[in-house]
Amino acid sequence: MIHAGILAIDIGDATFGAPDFFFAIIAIVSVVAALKMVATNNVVHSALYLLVVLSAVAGLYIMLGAEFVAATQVLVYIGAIMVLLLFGVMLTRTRIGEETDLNHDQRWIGGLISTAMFAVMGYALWDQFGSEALPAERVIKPNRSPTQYSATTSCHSRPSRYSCWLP
Amino acid sequence: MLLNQFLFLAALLFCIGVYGVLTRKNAVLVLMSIELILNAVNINLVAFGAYNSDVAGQVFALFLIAVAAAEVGVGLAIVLLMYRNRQSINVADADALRG
Repeated sequence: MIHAGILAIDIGDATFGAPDFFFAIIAIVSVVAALKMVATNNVVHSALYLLVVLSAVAGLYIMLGAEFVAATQVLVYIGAIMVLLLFGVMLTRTRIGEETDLNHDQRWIGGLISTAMFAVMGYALWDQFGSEALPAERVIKPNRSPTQYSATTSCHSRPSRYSCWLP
Repeated sequence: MLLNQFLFLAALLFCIGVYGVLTRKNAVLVLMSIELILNAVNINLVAFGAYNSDVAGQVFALFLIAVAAAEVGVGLAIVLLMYRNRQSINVADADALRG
């Protein structure tokens, strides 16, 4: 496991450690590849840019301590779904190479809507999870019984005037 | 690491995917953008699982990967039938239900 101590750079009161460095690389790669995916004029290039995004997301899962999900991402998305999409490109006889007519004319409406969505989501996230830190150790709490996941157990700790969904 | 940096990256990827769905004409490219959206949701699930030190987020992420694989299978079957019947996979051409 990578500890934040190595490669740590102090910027004011915030610490920019090695995990943040790797996260920055993954974030830049995935966002640039996603933007090129929705902007390129070549269908096969778009599929390959999607491949880059999916690989970067698999790296993100490893950073979050979810190695099994990362392995499944590589197997299912990169192994199966990409092949399926490239078969779709092939079977619909899409032109291999540059195309001029892949986007709608009213592209700016899509840009406006997605920018507004990002503004609203970004404000909500900043407002709600401003400086919540992830736990330093990626461990799963071991002492959880299955009943703690059910909807009924949390009801019993509430005052009785709140009704439970389940008896 | 902050929780917010993962959530912001997921929101950004989600919005790029929405832009792709809204602007692309080619149905295969629309399906690719939908995959991008589902991946952004998956990042959120795994990040909240790590935040709560709970394995439930990863379990939901695995279910979502399976659902996304089934979705792209069904979607590509629809696209291929549309191509066979209309010789076109422009999503604007699929307007048989328009009143």
